[in-house]
Amino acid sequence: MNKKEFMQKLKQLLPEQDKRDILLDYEEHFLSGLTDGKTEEEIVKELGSPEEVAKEFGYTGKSPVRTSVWAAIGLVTFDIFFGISILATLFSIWAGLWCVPIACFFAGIGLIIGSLFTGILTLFPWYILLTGGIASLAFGILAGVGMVYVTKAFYLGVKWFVMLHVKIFSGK
Amino acid sequence: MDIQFKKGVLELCVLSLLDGQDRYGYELASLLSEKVNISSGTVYPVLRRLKTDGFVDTYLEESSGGPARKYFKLTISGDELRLALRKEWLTLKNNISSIVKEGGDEK
Repeated sequence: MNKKEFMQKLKQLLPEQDKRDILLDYEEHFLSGLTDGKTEEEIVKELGSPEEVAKEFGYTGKSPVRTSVWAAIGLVTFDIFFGISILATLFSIWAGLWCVPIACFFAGIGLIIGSLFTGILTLFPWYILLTGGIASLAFGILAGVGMVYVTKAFYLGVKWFVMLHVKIFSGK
Repeated sequence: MDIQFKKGVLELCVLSLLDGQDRYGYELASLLSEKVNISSGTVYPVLRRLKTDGFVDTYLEESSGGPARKYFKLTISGDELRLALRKEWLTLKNNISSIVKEGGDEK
């Protein structure tokens, strides 16, 4: 890297208000170094990378505070218009889906118990109630297992969503 | 090395070099990078911080056959900071030395 490249890169990394002052110091440094008999490349090598220099000044290109503030504002706006409703919808679907295995499970138990008490007034004979009950119970358990996986996926999604907020708001 | 610690040490080095003698940036950078393993580019951020906090002052002076150079000069509070940091450093140095000496010098 030569002087021009170094100065240009540094210029990009520094904020407007301090740019001129700081660049002048480095201009002077280059001139002194050249008078000292060094080449531009040698001086650049000793100076370190423009990124390192900018970091020592406390700048990392774009102002980190401002970008994180904008990101936080963007995220809150997203939450208000979409995030919360999406989350609520997903939550309702999830809760609704859980009703299927729970309902089937208890319906199955009810049918099995009911099959023991068939009488003149029951519409179906006991064996239909019993097989129907077992089928319903089995399906309920199967759907319950399926829902455990759905719940896991749901949990990971929510965790990602929460972590995104933590990350943005803590400014990392 | 801990960044805060490194910053403190660098500040002390700069302040010490400026004690009794005003120097320009390139001179400070050369003297420091000669003895301490740092990129000379990091001297300017230190100088700028010291200037912002009022520990050093700057003035321009024509150099022989070259452009004007920015000289750095200790202020009164800069000299106070130098003495305080110096004391801290010497205590720390002694304490660390005594800890290090407890280990033997050969296996």
